[in-house]
Amino acid sequence: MKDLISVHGVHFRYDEESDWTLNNVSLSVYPGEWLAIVGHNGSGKSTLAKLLNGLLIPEKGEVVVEGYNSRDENSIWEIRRRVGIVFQNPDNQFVGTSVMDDVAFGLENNGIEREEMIRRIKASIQKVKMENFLDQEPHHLSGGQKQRVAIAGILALKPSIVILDEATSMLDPMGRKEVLETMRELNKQEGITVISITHDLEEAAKADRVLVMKAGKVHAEGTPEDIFKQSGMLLDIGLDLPFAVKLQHQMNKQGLHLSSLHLTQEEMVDDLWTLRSKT
Amino acid sequence: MDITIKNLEHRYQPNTPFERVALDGINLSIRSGSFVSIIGHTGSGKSTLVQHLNGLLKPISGSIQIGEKVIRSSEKAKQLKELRRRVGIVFQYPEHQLFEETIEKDIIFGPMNFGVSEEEAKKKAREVIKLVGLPEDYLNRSPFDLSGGQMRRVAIAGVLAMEPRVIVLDEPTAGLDPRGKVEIMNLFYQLHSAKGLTTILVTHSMEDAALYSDEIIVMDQGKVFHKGTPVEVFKDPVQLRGLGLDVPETVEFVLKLEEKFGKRLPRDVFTVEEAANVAVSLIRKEGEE
Ligand SMILES: Nc1ncnc2c1ncn2[C@@H]1O[C@H](COP(=O)(O)OP(=O)(O)OP(=O)(O)O)[C@@H](O)[C@H]1O
Ligand SMILES: Nc1ncnc2c1ncn2[C@@H]1O[C@H](COP(=O)(O)OP(=O)(O)OP(=O)(O)O)[C@@H](O)[C@H]1O
Ligand SMILES: [Mg+2]
Ligand SMILES: [Mg+2]
Repeated sequence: MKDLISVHGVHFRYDEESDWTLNNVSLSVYPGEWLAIVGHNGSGKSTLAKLLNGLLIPEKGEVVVEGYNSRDENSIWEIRRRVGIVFQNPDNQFVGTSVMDDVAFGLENNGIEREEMIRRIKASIQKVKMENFLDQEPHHLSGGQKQRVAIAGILALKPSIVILDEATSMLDPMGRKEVLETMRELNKQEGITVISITHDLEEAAKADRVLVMKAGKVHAEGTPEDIFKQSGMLLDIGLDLPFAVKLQHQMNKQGLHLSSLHLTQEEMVDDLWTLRSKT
Repeated sequence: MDITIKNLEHRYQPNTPFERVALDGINLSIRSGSFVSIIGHTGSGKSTLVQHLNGLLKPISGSIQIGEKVIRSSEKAKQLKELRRRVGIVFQYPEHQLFEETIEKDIIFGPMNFGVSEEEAKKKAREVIKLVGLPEDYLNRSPFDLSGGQMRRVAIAGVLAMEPRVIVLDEPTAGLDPRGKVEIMNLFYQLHSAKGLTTILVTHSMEDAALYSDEIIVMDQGKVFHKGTPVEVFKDPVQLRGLGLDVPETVEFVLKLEEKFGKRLPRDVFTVEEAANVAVSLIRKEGEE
């Protein structure tokens, strides 16, 4: 498949005297996929995200988004229009003095005409269920409400690629499910490419592809099945396994073996049911 | 220190068009030395509630008693200094807690403010930075040139350095990597047990709430909806989901088994081992029938 984003041999550091923060990173992002990026604290995930939308420029190597190279100054605008990031700390993202203004701000900057603008503001704020907070100052929201508004701000811009940098870490369990479901719909129905940086391995298990970062390098890459069967490797580098996988390991210890490795509870329960009919 | 909250009410921006009731008629008591979790939907008032525990926010009406100290709406900041030493809060967003130019200065600020010598405070800083899983040479770095999870660790180190008697943790593991989450929760639990700390954990992780708590407080729209042991609180999945919450993944698994096999199974299952036991004995029993 043709790359939507290609990252080639990227080296990056925050200052010239220190070691590489990203050390020879190469990867592809494919159109319409849901790519999860996991890795220990400080492994370079957020730095990579900022390189993908041209907020940071590599010292060596290249980032190319739909044909636009981030080194080329004239391309930066084209890249930013295509790649929207929901940052790890939403406070860094807010510019407006009300929820409404904040979402409007990005649209105004993109020269969206007024009627379309109002339509998009309403739709995106509704998607994240913040219609009752239109006049509230974003900095005066609760932790999870801030994350919802930050997501609305990016959705309104309709980028073709959305990067979620731990964007649902402060949501309550139902809220997280709903927001991820909304993103999944956009991904499936409108073909928006999603790159989700996450410590939530249940979420990563539902991705099309998983990329594992370690100390500034891409350590592994593959389907969730490929990645989560490498339990030793994951534990070694500070990660863990999805609940279903841990549960299966524990059952194995007690002499109960399932037909194959399952990443979800549903698959496991189904498999246990077949096992029962056989015994 | 026992904590007793009576008829607590809090409104943000009172007497303006933006006025918002955040807490309404809260009555709670938290036993000294207990581990209590607070769960509740986004915006239910958890952070507002816990910021009253060291006087960062003042009640509009009602009172909060911590040990001997009673906080009412009239309280002056000066009278709260002793309380701030006793009650340490790890904020929901670590950026709100960090302000010095180096991590070391950030960590020693609290202890020195309360009369610990510089030398002693620096020794403490070296100790706590390791506890939170960061190398000692990070002490000279700026707390702002860090990754999200590293900032979280520094914010936690700063609170640990104060050696509070009551520790309030507002989503302390958000942003930590999976190993970090487990290590830091174990660290809190170990300090809690070893030093008899009163620990108050605000969390969206139903698993952590189930695993560590003596009691869980369920908040809904600025009110206390329910308070009980983990077994009591996680009994009713439908109700919890209606409140924006859920059961821990272990219980969810048992519920799925119950549905598939049409049997009632033990639901007070909060560890992976316990969940595996339920499945294994279910299959063995079915085999015998
Ligand atoms: N502004 C900065 N200046 C200097 N160093 C930085 C800066 N931001 C991050 N770093 C360092 O770069 C490395 C990578 O940080 P990055 O934020 O990309 O990690 P991450 O994988 O997103 O981690 P986390 O899971 O904690 O969010 C870390 O060691 C961090 O200390
Ligand atoms: N500084 C503020 N000014 C005005 N309203 C506020 C302020 N802080 C919080 N609120 C409002 O008070 C209510 C309770 O907020 P609080 O931060 O206590 O919720 P929370 O339970 O901690 O939520 P979360 O799980 O999202 O962190 C919310 O509706 C929020 O919008
Ligand atoms: Mg990050
Ligand atoms: Mg909060």
